[in-house]
Formats: sequence, C-alpha cells, structure tokens
Amino acid sequence: MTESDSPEPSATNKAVAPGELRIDSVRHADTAVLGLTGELDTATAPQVLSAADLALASHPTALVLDLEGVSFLASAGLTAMIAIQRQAAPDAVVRLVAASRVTLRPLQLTQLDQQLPIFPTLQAALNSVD
Amino acid sequence: MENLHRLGVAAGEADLPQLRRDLRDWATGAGLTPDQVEDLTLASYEIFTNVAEHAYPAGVAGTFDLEAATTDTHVDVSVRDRGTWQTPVPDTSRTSLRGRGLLLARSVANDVRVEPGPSGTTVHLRWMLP
Repeated sequence: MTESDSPEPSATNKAVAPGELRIDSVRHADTAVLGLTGELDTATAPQVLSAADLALASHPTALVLDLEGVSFLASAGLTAMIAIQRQAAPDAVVRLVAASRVTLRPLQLTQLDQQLPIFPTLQAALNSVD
Repeated sequence: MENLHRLGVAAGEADLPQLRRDLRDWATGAGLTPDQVEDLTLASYEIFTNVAEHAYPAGVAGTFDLEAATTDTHVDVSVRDRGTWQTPVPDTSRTSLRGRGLLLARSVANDVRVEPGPSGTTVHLRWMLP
C-alpha cells in the first residue's frame, strides 16, 4: 500500500510493537492532544514527558492526554501525568481520556481521578474545553 | 501448570517489559480471571521497578529472582532481591509522587507481604483463584 492509497491514514489503527508507545500529537484549536498507543511504563514515560514539553511550548489552553489506546498503565505513567499537569499550570489545563479498566483502575486506586479530570471519549474532553 | 522461575533477572529497565509479558502469559494459563491477570501483571511490574529503582545503590547492576507458583486455591508471585529494600512511604496525598507503585500493588493483590532478610528482601503477592 502506498501513501496515496490512504490520504487520511488513521494513526490509531496502526499496530505498536510490544513494549513500545506511540504518541500522536494533534492540535484542535487551542487544545493540544497527545494520543497514546501502547504500553505506558517506566521505559516509555519519558517519551510522554518530552511530547508534553513540545506540545506545551506552543501555548495551548488545554492539553488532552488520550489514553484510549493504552494497553498497560504503571505508576511511572501516573507520575508523568502529574508532572505534566504541574508543568502545564497555570496556563493550560490537563485532561485525560480513559475508559478501559486497565487505565481507569490505576487512576482510581491512587485517587488521581480526583486530581485529573477524566473523560470517556476524546470528543467529550474536547467539548469540555472552552 | 508449571511454576515460572526466573533467576538473576537484571533489575535494569530494559528487561522488565518482556518479563512482564512472560508473567502475564503464565498467569493467563494459571486459571485467573482476565481482570486478575491484569492486576497480577501490574502489581508484579510495580515490584520489579521498585527493586530496579530502590533496592540497589546507584550504579550497581542488581538482580532479582522471580517465582510464580499456583496451588489449588491461589497464585503466588515472589520477587526476591539481594539488596536493601526501601519501603516507599505509601503517601496517598494528592501531591505525592512517591510510593504509588506499592500502593497499587497492595490495592490489586489479595495479599502483599514484604519479608526483609539478611541478604535481601522478598515480596510475596497472592491472588485467590476464582
């Protein structure tokens, strides 16, 4: 398949190798979105921090971390999200998209769901950003 | 169901994702529910990374032993290091960045026991079979 066959490739459908994390950075108006696909652990958390650095450099008013494609979420990933929230404040708010047990459970058990607003879909997260 | 033994695993981050997947595959065959397999994978990985980050002095390439065993009633995962376990303070305050790994492990396992010894520390995790 050549690139011309799919002018609008759906990045989220591409496979990610085990142990890897892919980050798709998209901008919706004043909101930066990082779509994460793969495993978020001690090995891959630094990638998220770097991607957030880059996204925040363009001064969005909101940063959405879309965890819908995350198949494993360890405490290192939670720590990264809190660090990103701290870094973004007060200029940008951080919102999460999470609906699966594998992502929601660690967030809830550590009570980070009380600190980071969580939305079931990317659209819901985008709609909440005014 | 054979037990899973891994002796002298390098506590460096590079090997941990693969070990996590091996353990998940083993647990899937051990009779746990899919949710329990998810929990076992997360809790065990948090213990691995705690060893990697805290059991050995900086610059020391430490190792640990993993044993996963099943009985008629439960599944046990043991992680034995040869260093000095530092029990993270399970501080659940909103701003704490430390201690989430052990907090997560304690939250998702049916039982967690930290057994300090003269030549290292063993962490025992247990799940009851459904």
